[in-house]
Amino acid sequence: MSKKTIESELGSILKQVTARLSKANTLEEVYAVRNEFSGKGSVLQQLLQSLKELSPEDRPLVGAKVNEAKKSIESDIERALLFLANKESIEKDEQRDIDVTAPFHVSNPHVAPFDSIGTPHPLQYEINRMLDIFTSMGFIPFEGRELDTDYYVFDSLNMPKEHPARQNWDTFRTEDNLIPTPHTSNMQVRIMRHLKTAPLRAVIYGRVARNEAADAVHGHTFYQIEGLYIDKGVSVSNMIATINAFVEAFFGRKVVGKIQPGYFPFVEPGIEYMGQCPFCDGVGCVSCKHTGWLELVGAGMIHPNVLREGGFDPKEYSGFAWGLGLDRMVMQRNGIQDIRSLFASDIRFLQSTI
Amino acid sequence: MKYSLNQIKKYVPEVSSIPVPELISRIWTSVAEVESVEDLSKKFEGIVVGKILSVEDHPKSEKLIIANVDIGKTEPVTVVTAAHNISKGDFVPYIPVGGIVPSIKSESGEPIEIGIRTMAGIPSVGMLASEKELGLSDNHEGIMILLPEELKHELVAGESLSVALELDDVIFEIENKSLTHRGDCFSIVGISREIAALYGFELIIPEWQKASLSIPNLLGPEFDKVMPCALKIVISATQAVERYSAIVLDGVQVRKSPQWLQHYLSKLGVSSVNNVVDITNYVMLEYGQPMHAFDASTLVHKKREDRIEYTIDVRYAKAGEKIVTLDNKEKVLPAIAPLITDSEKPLGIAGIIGGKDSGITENSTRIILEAAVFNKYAIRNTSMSLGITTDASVVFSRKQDPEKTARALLRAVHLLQELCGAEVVSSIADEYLPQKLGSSLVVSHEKMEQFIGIALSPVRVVAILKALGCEVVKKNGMYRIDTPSWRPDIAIDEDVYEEIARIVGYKEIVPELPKRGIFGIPLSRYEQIKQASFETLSSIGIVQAMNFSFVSKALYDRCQMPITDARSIVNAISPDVQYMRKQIAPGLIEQLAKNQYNTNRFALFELGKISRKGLNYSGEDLSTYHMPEARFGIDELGLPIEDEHIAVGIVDDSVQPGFFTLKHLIEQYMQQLHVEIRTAHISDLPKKISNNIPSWAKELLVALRSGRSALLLEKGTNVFIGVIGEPATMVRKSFGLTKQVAIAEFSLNRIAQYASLEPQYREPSKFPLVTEDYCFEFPIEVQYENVMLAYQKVNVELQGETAVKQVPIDIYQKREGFKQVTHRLIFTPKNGSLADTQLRLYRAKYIAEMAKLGGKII
Repeated sequence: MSKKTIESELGSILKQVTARLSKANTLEEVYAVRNEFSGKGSVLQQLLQSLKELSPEDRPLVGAKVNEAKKSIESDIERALLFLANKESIEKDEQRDIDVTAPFHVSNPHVAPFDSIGTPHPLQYEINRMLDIFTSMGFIPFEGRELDTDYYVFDSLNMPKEHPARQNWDTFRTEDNLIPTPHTSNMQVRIMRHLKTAPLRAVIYGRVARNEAADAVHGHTFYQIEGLYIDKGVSVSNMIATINAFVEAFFGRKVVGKIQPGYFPFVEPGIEYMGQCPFCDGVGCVSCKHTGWLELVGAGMIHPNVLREGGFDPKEYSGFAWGLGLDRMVMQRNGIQDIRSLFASDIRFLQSTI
Repeated sequence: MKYSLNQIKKYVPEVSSIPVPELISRIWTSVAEVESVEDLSKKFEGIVVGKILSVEDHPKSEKLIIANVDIGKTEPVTVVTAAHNISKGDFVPYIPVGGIVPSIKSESGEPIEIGIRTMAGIPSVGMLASEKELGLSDNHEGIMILLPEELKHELVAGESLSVALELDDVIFEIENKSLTHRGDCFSIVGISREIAALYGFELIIPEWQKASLSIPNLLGPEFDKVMPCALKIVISATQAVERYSAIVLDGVQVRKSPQWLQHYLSKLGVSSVNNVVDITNYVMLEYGQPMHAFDASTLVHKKREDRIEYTIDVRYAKAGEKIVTLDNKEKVLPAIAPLITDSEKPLGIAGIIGGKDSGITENSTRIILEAAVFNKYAIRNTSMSLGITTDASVVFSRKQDPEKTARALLRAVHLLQELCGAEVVSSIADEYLPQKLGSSLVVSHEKMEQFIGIALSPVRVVAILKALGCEVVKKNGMYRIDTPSWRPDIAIDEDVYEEIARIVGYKEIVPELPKRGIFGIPLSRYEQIKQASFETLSSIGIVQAMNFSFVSKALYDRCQMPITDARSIVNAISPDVQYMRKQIAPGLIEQLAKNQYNTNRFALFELGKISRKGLNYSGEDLSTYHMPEARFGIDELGLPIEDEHIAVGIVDDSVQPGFFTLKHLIEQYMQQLHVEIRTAHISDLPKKISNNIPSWAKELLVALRSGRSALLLEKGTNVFIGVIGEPATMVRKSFGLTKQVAIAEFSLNRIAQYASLEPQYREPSKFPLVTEDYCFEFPIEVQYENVMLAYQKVNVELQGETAVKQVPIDIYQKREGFKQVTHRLIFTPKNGSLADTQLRLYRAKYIAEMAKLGGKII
């Protein structure tokens, strides 16, 4: 065969394959095309054999063309097979082999119940417990938004543009410039404007996100809960007493508290409340990393700029807010070492209490 | 930042009277969390200064020598060592028998205890230590030779090494993050001022360092001299610089620092480089003023008459400008980066790191010493954008006091004169941009007491504020306060309250609960429904799972679902958190797949928020939204609707199709919430319903096997609630599912529309009930729902005299084309016992009604 004949032969083979595949309706038909055109003893194979007859200078070029055609045919066949497999599965999927309005399948009236009991997620359990405490203290619950604007996440909380503390939160940002909120305080000003009157007592809880690499103790997603209290003449002393009452209700026992200054732009002054570790009475254990103290709560007197933003005149009103991360509580309570277990949804973990 | 207690004692001598643990706990509770405390003297316990009396060759080994060492005891000791760098008269560190080597551990990680070791036949008593063995540096070449003149200490054989080297010190560390708003505390002087204020101790500041001294005073008689060099400062980057001071020094001899300086820096975790760099670091640690020295010979300069003129221009980087930094890395500079330049080339990145070319080398003699204060935003942004963090950038990222540049410069000059033989060859060049230093406040004593919640003595308040550096005048119950230049964080009344509260000590504040009335807080209806959902779902055996609100495109691909309309995250750290989810089901299917071999059969549910690009509250009727976020009304317009969805999924190995097992669970759940639902195949529904289901549901249907999927509708209104079905074959394949799997997702908002949590209790009838089983045979295509409707039609007719409850018993296919449907009917008469005639009549009615569907009674 000459170079020309081989090339025209190739062209016609490709055309035939395309035509045959487009008509193929079953996998068998495609297999037939494959046997005829690409397998052992196929037309293509014969064509490759005939390359020997060509002059040495033509051989590589034509050889490359034949190989190219072979590849193209194989990928066409592959695609056709996938298409038909899909089509078959779709056809199978489309069969209405059950009566979706019925309570059970024909000839099988037995629907077995799930005999092991269901369990709440450990985070849910903690949220519920906390909400019980807060509501018993007279705080109205509000679940926080997940996606929010710069205004609620930062500006309304005394962090105008360019405020350095904005960076401390490592926020995610969406294409339409919303922020998966990095804290539950995004609800503070909203709630102040919504409830309007003092004494204002609210508890905010919800899911928050930070753009950091996940490891055993840091997740990009976690839960926070915070209390908000505003009235005339609210003092630092009131704040400390309230946090203490909350912490003691949470642990169901007396807790020795210790306060250190902390810095959060939306409070002034800001504090961190440490509790003597209730799991070891301050002796030192895994829960408190052998320090005897647990960092329990971040808190502070609401910054006058935040009060003003929420419609409360700071000359007349003062208030405090305090918050904590739930995931850490869950981990401490259950001795969980890796925060990622909380979102891994491994049923052996979720059902481990029963 | 690390602090040396010995150094603090130089400023606050009285602190010696406070036990260390008490001091640390006070700093912790009144300033910031103390990360770590180390008592160095413990490390050097027992180690003494030895004096070499003689050095002899070892008779049996050329490698070893024998030293006789005076260790202050009556008899000298003999030490055999391989280090040859000692000679008679040298003072060396000596670890006696029983002592512990401070920084070297044995191979098994145990501390090494020194004993008597016989080396080539001669017993060696104790050990002479190198700097590395003492943990003072990495230098392991020979025994450390103590130099009295470099230690500024008269050495005596036998005295404690830690005293001689000033290692009888306590080093404590505060995390930089805790001092975000306290730029002044990045210094020994700053923390000393805090400690003095806490205890009411006197803070002793050297005269020359006081604010009242101006530059002429600082320079003293040299001020007026005609200097051989002139330095001109140009500030082009005016937003980035608050003050720039610099001076030219000549005759500098760059060499190793004296031992006292090396050891001081090493205690605070700074490694010694050379005397010039070490001095700038010393001053930074002491006064919180980062400094930098440039080799003047690398700067362009002009000669005018006999003077050499240097110009330093602080300007922003030009497009594409590059610099090789001190640590030998080439950096392309962003336009926001302020640079120190000699008006031609960059010498360093302002406030962050110097350039390699302009740096001090062993051969430098003339240097330009810089002490500047840069704007914190400029430094933070540049440092983040370049990814360079240095001690200087950390300090400058907090607001710094521009008042201290010239005084820090003078302190450094004094040290450079003393330790490097430097002489001043220029005046201090100083560009001080106009700015606000300190604030004036008028604060009421009464409000302060009310805010903190305890009684305060005005004398105490004044003393605290003065100790912090404020000028205070008290008049008529008000304080007029002028804050010092180093405390820009005291700007409003509440800042003053904080200072008083923390210095007095939070533990002095007696906790008192707010006075409040009695009130009850019911959960909102929606929240009650949500709680009931959690409880009901777990009560029927479903385990609650949680997935992230972020999803990947890969997950949607595996579900054959489009990622379109999911909000993308623009700065995601990984593709796993690239999008906000718009359905709950995909994540749950993944969890079902992951768990399919962990247990036999199980059910999972998740309740979470979903959102979708373009779906927001604008133009929406808020009364149709029951979730709490809709409470905020007009404020929320334009914000995405965050609908809460519940997804439920099962993995099952029984023969019952998963669809029915799941449907049964969902019916139980709905029943508890008093929501009546129907399931219907989408193609059996009128277009008006099927075309108007929400996008999330349309997308989810793609993931389901279309013949085994259905819509969940509210029975009375046909309003769409959710979707139920079994995953499509391709989806099963992509997740490797091998067992029966079904999944459903529905909107909690829609459930809340119809749910009721009020149980309605009814008294049972006093008349006996009658139970009858009915079996009808229908053509196979008759849907079960129609059979139910037919029953209910009759039931409604009967409801005046008899209540009918029907329970499905079975559906059997006994012959091709037909199925038999059996129900148990429970008749409860309302007015009197049921007679046979009545039951026969009922039966006739049912038969007639079923006949319309082609049904025959069996």
